[in-house]
Amino acid sequence: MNRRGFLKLATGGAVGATLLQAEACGMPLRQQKVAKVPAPRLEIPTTCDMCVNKCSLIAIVQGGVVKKLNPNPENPKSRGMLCARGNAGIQQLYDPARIKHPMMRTGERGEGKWKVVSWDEALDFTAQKLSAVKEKYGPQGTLWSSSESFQEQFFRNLGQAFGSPNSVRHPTLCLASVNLAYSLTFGTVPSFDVQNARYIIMSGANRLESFITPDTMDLVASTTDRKARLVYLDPRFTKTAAKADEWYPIRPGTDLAFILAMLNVIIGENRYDKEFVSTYCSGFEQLAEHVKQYSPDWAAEETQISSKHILRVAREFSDAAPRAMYYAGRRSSWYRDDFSMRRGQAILNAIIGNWDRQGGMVPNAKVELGELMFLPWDDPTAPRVDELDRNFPLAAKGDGVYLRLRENVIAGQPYPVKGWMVYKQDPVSGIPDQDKTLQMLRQMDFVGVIDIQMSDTAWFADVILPESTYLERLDPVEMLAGIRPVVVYRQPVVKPLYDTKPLLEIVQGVAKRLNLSQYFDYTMEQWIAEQVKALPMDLPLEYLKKHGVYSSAQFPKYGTTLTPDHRFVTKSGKIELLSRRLQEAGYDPLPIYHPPTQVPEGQFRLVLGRHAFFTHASTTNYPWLNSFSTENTLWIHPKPADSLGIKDSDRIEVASGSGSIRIKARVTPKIRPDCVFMQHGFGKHSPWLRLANSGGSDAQLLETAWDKVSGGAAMHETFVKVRKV
Amino acid sequence: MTNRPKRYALAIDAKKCIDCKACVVACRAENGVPLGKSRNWINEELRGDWPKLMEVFEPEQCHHCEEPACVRVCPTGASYQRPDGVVAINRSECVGCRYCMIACPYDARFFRDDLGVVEKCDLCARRLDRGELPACVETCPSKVRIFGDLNDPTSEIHQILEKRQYRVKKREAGTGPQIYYLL
Amino acid sequence: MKGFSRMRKDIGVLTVGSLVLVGLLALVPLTASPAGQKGNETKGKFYFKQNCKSCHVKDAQGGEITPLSKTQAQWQAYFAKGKHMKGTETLTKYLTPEQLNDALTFLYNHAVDSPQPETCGK
Repeated sequence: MNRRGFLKLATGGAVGATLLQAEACGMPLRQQKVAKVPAPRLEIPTTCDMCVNKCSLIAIVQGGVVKKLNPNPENPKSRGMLCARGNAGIQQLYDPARIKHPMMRTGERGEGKWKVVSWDEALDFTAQKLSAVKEKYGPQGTLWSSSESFQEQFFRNLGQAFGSPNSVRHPTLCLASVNLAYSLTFGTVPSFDVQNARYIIMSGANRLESFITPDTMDLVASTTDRKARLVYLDPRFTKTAAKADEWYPIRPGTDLAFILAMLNVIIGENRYDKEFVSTYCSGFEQLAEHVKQYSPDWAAEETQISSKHILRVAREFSDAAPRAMYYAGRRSSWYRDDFSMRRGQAILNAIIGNWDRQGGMVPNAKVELGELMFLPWDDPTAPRVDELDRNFPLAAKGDGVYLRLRENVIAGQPYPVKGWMVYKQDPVSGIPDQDKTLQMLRQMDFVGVIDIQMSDTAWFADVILPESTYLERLDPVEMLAGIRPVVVYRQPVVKPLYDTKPLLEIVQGVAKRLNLSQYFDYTMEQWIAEQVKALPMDLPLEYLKKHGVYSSAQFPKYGTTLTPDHRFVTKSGKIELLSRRLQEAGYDPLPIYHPPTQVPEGQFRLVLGRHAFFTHASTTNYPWLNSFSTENTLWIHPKPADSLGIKDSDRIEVASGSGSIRIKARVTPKIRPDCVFMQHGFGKHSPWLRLANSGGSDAQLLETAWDKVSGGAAMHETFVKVRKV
Repeated sequence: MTNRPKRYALAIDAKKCIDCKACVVACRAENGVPLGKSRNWINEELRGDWPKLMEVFEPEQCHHCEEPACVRVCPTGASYQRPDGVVAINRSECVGCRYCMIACPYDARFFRDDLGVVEKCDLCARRLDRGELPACVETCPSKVRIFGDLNDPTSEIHQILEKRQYRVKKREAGTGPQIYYLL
Repeated sequence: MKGFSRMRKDIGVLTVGSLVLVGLLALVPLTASPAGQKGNETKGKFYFKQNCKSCHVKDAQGGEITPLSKTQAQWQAYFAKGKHMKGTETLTKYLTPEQLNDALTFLYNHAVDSPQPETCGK
């Protein structure tokens, strides 16, 4: 039968489409008998895991093959949409470069010589190695790094039950400074009611490319339906800049000057919410005195934004209050002084009284879930290796400070760390200063990685324990707090394709061999059964299996904390404009402006950012997404490019104090002349991530720097030299 | 109302488009479109000079014209128009002559080297027949796309085209395109 | 759940042992452990949930109690006093002094004026 004949047969039948689709997905074609009756088309609701947002989706499954992932309209947080990455989840499942079996290296680390082993062998090896490190260095000699997932807690629990205090997590590379600033001011990190705001100021927080639900969608709606005015500060002309009413290419690192000048105007002209401030806030008098020095003219010098605009924006902002917000942002791993800037924002939001009001900041509502009572272990007794209590006394303890930790571990101080377990994280790609990460890795006696793909870190591991992907997994029910909290359900839509396991089983496998089974003595089903007991409907599990998500009609609720006897989770019980805790710890109790380091002559500040079709470093190898950007480039403004003799698409060398890379130039006016930009997730070592080997790795360029108070990585503090090659 | 013919069309509020590519991936996933080709795409235009810059994004795909030139030139009848206005291709009848690709004012069609046939957006006809929206419409984060029956006065697309001004692309080509770009 | 029944036995043994201990300690004035921070927080959370939270829910006698119900100083004071049910019984009816110290540690570390910056995920 020729191809035309085959197509004649297949047209209208599900099987032909299945094969063609499978081929387009990169799924290996196999000889199949053409079925007479198409397999039933199943619609299975579950939860996406392609990024942090956890949108609800409905998987279309036919004949055991996932054909399409559709949005689930029942989730108010995801506003019934599914983004490019969500749609590309099929490629995560059918990725030929997935790790299909446990593997152990046979050659040197990074040599790429692997042998497939049984789970028993891999788990035995892992437990043996961990025990050996414990024997020699104590349990604190092991490091447990992980990123968020519905199952992450099991991994963290294993590390703790094992006796190690050394957990390090993604917030220290992301939102540590913003979270700490808002926590110290309000006792909690609120959500921003973008949907109902009338005036929004954003420093970076490129929401139209760096998706956070529902803020991204609400921002588009609010600004295009002309309900809200958007003032956007960013050294880059991002897609958010393209939609903003006003975009200012602010001098990087000076956002706090802008904010302090706004405070100066708003307080000086009595435009703040007096009643709110006197009822709920403490430290106003000191604040008012403090900001007198920060005039709009002064700020104009710092920010390179005219004082006329700063004055006008301050007035318009306060006029629109309480439906005005200085959006906090999320990835705040920018500058050494980032924390101060976020504190400035929090204070500004506080004094205009947008707290717990429509169109302002709203403390996150929750839906209670039950908790399975599992046997507790003894807390680790050793102090953390990054010496948080001494170096970053206010930082979130469980998250650690990655860059400080790495310095200490490399130095072997205050004690050696020789075992490293990594879950759902790619430190080699993700942390600034790659050479140091590799140095830390090489010093380890043992490196074990739990991942779904051969990430750069997995490439250098001793053993890889492959996790099943989200489309193959049953996970704990998760509650996503917010203005409208939701409870999402994740159930497998297909059976695991390969010899992979969900994290809980991997943890249980290791735990058994370490005599820690008693702490993980439950199944996922038992865990979930306890969780859903707290939900209000009859047969909650059946409900979740059918709908994939639950949200309560009682939300949104505004003003629940606006009672005079409400105690904020701060030291004084009030919203702390002046922070007592900061004062006691020896930090500035009110944000003091420090100018950013000047860009050295002939160099550029390297800034980072997101694209809507990638999630950090983990998705650049999926063909459907990679097709939008087959390699990363260095964005450089035409003027400096011209003086360096660089034309668009030229090969250039970019060098910093940490290393150098070769990359293609993208000459564009969409960036300040003193900055350059590159996308994250390329220049990978791992040959399995073939499509991401192109371009360059920002991890190789970024220098080690951290925010002074939260310890969060400061990723915009690197200056680079650029030259044509 | 049931004997009134349907007329499917798309209204696009391009100022809401943030070029996130969700529609492109959704289409690819739904329709098995191979890499290197696309049934839909986003036109980008950067205007101005630093620092006064402007950028617009405009989604596009087959316009499912009222007088489709592609259908007119097709020698085998593979390209046809459904009663509801959707212009589709009967793959088994297509011989890959590509006359339609030349005729289309919008370059909406492409050639499948692997299959020897021409392909384009068919508004996810299979989904329509199941009562679902086209994949691009359903997935869009910014709700750029409004899809529906122009002849149904209660439909969102009918109502929005009554309220708002719009333009179509290449009106002068005379094919009667049915993607309405809201102004 | 295997581990759980083993736990019950352990508590049983501990309860007997602690009664003896309490008896002995009754001869010595009880002082709260220094700031209650040196206990085992993970265990403290468990004891709190198992012994206190099970009753202290919304609309219960004694009301809903969470770590946020008191300040650090208030938790310390409460445990130092050690009384329950409007002073009709002591907390040691439910937990041993060591377990109480663990519970206090957990509650103290998450009290309404405690420094607990929020983070992403658990």
